[in-house]
Amino acid sequence: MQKKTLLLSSLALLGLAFQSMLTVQAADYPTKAIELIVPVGAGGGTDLSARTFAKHAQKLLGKPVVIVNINGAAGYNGSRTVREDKSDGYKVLYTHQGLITTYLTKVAPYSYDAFKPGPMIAEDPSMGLFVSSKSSIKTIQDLIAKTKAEPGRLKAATEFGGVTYFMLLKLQQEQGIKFNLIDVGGDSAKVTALLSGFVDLMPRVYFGAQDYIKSGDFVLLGQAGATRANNAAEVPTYKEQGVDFTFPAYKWSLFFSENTPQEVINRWDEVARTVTASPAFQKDMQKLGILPAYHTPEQAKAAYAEIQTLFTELSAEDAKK
Amino acid sequence: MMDVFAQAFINVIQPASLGLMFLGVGVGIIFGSIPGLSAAMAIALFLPMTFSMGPEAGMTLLVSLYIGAISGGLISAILLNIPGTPSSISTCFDGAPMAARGEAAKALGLGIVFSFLGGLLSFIALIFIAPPLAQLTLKFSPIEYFAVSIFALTMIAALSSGSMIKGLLSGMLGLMFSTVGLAPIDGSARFTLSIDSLSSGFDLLAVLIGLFAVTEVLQGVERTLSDGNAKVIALQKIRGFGFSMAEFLAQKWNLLRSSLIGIFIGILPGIGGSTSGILAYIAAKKQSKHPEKFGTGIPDGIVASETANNATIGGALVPLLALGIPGDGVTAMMLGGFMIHGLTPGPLLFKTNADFVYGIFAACLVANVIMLMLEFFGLRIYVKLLKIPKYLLMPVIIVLCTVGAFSVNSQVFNVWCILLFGVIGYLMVKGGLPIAPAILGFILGPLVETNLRRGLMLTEGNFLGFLERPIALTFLVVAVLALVVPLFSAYTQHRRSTALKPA
Amino acid sequence: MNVHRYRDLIVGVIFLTGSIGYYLLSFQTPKSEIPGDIGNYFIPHLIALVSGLLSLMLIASSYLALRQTEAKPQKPAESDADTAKELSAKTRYLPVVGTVALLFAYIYALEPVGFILASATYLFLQFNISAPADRRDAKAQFRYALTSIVAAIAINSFFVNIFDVMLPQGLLD
Repeated sequence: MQKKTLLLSSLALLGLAFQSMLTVQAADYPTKAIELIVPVGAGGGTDLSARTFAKHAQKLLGKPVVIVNINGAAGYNGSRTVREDKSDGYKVLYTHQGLITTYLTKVAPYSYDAFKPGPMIAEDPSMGLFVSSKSSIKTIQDLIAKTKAEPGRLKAATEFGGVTYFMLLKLQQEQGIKFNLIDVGGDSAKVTALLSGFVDLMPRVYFGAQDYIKSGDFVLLGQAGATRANNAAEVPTYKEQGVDFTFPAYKWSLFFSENTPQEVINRWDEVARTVTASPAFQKDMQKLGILPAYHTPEQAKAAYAEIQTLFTELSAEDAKK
Repeated sequence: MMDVFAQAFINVIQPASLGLMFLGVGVGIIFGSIPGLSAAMAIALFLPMTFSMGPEAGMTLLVSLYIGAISGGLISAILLNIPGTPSSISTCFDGAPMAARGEAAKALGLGIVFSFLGGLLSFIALIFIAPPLAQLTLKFSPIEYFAVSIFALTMIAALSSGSMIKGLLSGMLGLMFSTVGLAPIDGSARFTLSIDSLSSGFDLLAVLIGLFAVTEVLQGVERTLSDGNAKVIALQKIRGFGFSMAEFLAQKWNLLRSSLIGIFIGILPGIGGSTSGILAYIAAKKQSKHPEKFGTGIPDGIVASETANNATIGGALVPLLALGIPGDGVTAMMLGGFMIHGLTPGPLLFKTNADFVYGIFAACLVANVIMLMLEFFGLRIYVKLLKIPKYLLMPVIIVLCTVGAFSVNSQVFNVWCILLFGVIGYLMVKGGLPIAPAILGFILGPLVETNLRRGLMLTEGNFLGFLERPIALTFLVVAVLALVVPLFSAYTQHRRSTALKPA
Repeated sequence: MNVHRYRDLIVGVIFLTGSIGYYLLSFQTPKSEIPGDIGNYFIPHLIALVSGLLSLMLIASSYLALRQTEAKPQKPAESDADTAKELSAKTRYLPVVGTVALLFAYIYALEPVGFILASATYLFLQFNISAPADRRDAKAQFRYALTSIVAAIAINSFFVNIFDVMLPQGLLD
């Protein structure tokens, strides 16, 4: 009898100890290096801003934050790795709304809402439309007038299923115009295409292309934010120019697998808030032309929901034709 | 310009900078020479370290790594018959047979010196004619890329030693594997058999490691009467670089031709260094008075391959520095390095940061000399590798390949791929199918398809529009000739031989 | 049966089957919905067609070659000598199958067991498969074991500690 009580009580004790161990684990987080999964290859804006964030975050977390580039399948490889992870927060995804576009293009069977949302870290609202300086188009009005006169003639560089593709869809649908959409590939391929003149129009963020404007190769027809972005203060918005066209910024956020303890996400939220407020981080990000932009996980989730609704409507409308 | 350049040179040959370059070239050679570790991996691993350095120091290190790694690939290509990096595939073709004859030092010497010369010529082109060369980049729309890729694809016929049909079939196998994964442009999952990991397709590095390294191991353990695993190759004495002045001078046209091919492929973003060596090798074979000797271990093959792959480095830097356009994974990472240091890559880099650009030029030239020096002294050490019996060396190489395949994108899937392609490669050898055409097909498949589909969007579905563009037309005509001429000559030969026979 | 004589015929049949399978599999791909695109079927169908034709050519030519050799009288003396020299298929291919199986187990164990333990075990066993028969005595075993452990640890520390490559650590995590 006594033996049994002893056994039971020791079992209960063990259970208690185990439970406290779990909570201690979450409270002690991190106890080892954390992998920040970047679903693209090394060298681009997403990768570099993740590296910059990791560099500052690891000082606060006290453990190394290692960048792991898991590229391939338009980002699906990387997001899948985090989604299937069971390490309680040692694999964290750093990505932008590409997470939504891979879902809409049926590359991934899930979207942003298959993850626990983390804080938003950075954004780039300076999305614009570039034309060649040799073109007769000098303003956004010119562009719209010309495409209305000759529907489907103007060649617009895009990457099917990418974020800029949805930007062109939105412009087409709102203004009742039609481009000849040409797939050319990523950002630098778009620049090459516009430089060599086999496309007429290129949607792209401002940073990284400003020297082509200075050199007289390109003309930028404005930016698609509701107000001027801090990283493109000299560029007028389309609204200022009398054309009601806006498009959501690139938004980089953290995402966690479904089973990640809330304490871990809270910890990252706190880290993200501190890092994004620090002048050193802001200075590093300025070199990349990306704006630090802290938002709580709830706000981040809402922003993504809004983008998903917009993109879904755009592709549904496009499929009707 | 000259005084800026002189100043850049003085900066580069400071002790601290020189030390960094020796480190970079040395580590690059190690990464290049170990199968499974590539130039791209070396640069990806060092990129974060350059963030804390000054921009000049950071770029000097990256350039040194790049030059060391591309050249280092020749070591394992020659000594182990496994390309150390994708760029040195064609160095195996003649390098390995030459080493098997006991002339490893000569093969290495040729590879090293011509790596240096190919690099040198491309850097001279980069320094003096980068802006006009960059304009050539802009002449290439998807239509031209399609034509060049088709042209390169027809070269499979020239790579097929022995049966032409089997060579072409091997190329087809490579093409088939290249279509696995998300289809270009529309992104639909293709041939993925509902396996998630297959949606990113097969990685070139994993395919190469499998077809070369794992296949080599499987062949090695096969017990034959002359057991290859225990055999140690006798070495000849090494003097200088192991080859004579006459042998050197015999390669002057090959050097020039291969450099031009390397630079040309380099300045076209997206084609990549892995094809330049193969194309230069084929060109050398076609121009040769004794094409049948290619593949038996002659200097021409090594020279063509190694000159071209190093010449590609200077070529790839042309669009990067003159236009801000990266040509491949490696230059894309360098572009990231620029940005993190607050330099905006683009058409104004020459104007706004001339000292920086000339610093890179100087670093290229000096790192190239360091590469020559390190490999000259290393030559005597590398050949000692042959003294380690293969049954000990190869398994360790496999473990390193595992690391290399895994770190492509941190997934065990790529390690599974090396086993898969190892078995495929072994079966191909057993079936008498050459491996090189499969690799060329694998590399070129996506280029052909993507650019065909993009080109047709540009011409609004009209293929005749491809023929209206002079560059594209030229390449397509040459491609057709490359297929038809050998068939025609085979036919006439056949006619002649039957005509000679008494009825 | 001499497999070598039928080699090209076998290769041709395998490729023909493969081409047909590849062609059929291509229909599982969802259609491209992009306007003005020739679609994601075009190139695969072209590949299947060309490789199907090439394999038929190979089958035909090797069949003709076989007919010719069969028509001619065989030279039994030479081929007999050849078979006598050949090792039995079992001794010859057993190490190959063993290596494939070992690699399979190694890759399978990589994540759960971890890089160091899996690699050290793989190396030790692979040395034993690869080494010539006269180099498997106790002294050699000791050397193999030592080399395996040192190599696995050295490679792991080089990549993990210097370059932050996240190799799977498995049981040692």
